[in-house]
Amino acid sequence: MVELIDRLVRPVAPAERLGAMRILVGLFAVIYMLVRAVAMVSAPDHAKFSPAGLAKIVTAPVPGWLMIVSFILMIGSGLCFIAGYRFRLSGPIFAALLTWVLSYRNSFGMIWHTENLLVMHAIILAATDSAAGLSLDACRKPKPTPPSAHFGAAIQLLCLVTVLSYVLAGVAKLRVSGIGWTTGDILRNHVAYDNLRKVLLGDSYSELGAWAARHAWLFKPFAVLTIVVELSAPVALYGGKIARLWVLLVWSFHVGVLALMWILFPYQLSVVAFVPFFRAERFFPRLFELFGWLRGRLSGRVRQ
Amino acid sequence: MFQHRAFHYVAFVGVACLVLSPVLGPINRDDFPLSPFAMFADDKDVNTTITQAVGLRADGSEMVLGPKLLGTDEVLQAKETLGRVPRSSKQARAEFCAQFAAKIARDQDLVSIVKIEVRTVTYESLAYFADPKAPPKRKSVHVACKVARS
Repeated sequence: MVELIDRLVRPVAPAERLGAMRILVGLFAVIYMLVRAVAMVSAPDHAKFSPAGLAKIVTAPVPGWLMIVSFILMIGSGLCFIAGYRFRLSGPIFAALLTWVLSYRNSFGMIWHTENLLVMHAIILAATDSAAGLSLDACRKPKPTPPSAHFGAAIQLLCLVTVLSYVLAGVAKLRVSGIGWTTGDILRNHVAYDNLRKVLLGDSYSELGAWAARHAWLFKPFAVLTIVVELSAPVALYGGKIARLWVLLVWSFHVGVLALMWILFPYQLSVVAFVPFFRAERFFPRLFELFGWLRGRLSGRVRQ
Repeated sequence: MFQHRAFHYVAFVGVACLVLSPVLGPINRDDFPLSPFAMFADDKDVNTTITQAVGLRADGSEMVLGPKLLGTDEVLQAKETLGRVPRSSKQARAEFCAQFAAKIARDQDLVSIVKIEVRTVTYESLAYFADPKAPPKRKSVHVACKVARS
């Protein structure tokens, strides 16, 4: 029993696995922020400021230049985060700035639930030893760091916040609407409402969702599957095939949300959100060679 | 210390409690990044009531003015911004309308728009997609102004 719990909380894992997650999450965050750069640094016209998260440290919208500086520093520290350079400093700075910029952006009338998990993952990666492998910092050490439960524990924290986000979503549905969420027309009404709202506000909407909303029978199996996938999320902590099956189901769920409601969860659909459930170091065989070569160069220089 | 087994367990339980903590608060109290993730939890009214910005052409046809014209790329932010119009004073509405009309006047793709309206409309959500051309169940105009071009 103790062994099983230990496997759930702190399995032995290579430093490179956690390092690969740092690279992927960092890359996603930097690219995502660059793509949305204009929206990130400008407050929407006429919108009400209701501070969320880290933005609660201010009581009114901040000057535009402050957001531009924050954004530039965030991208700079994000590049150091990806490379694992001076990580004890750059990691927390990046996570803090990412949280600040996204919190601020989420303080104008709506919270993008597509970004919560990205921020939580970045904070965990910054707070743990995720630059012990596949990083410039690690290249300064003469030998690679051996596998340890220390790295596995950090990976399990990433998995934990992922699965709990889905559990919370499932609990919220049952808490607000009870079992009626699976047996009634709630999901169908959501799809109809969400698409109609987009039509009436002049935005793109899902024609598939608009068509499907006319067929009540389509939604009940989806509703049941949604609740099952959300509430069963903790089984994925066990890892292996069970985790991969759950990831496939939850990824398909996000495809369904996109197809029916035209709501894009980029972090989840890119699969980066689910990388902690995989042996991520296998995605980067070339990086091993690159960092091995760099270690030879940098550790020699450090010894001199 | 960070490599110790006890620390790993404390971190695991601590992070779990933190992420689950929104469950203890009101379900509609959202935050970032900790959230109860209740965005699809409630039972939506069968009717959808939305405050929208509409551009009217000289021939009587109309077009919905989308989120980008309100300075956002997000529909929910546009909804929030427009939703504030009915609750604002008559003077604030007029100022909003005038600023918005000036923006429309500068847009070369919207030269056919001669007047704008901010209105609240109510449709039965499911019925709308069966017949999108049917008039709304309810409609009330909060402010309207002409688009002046020099």
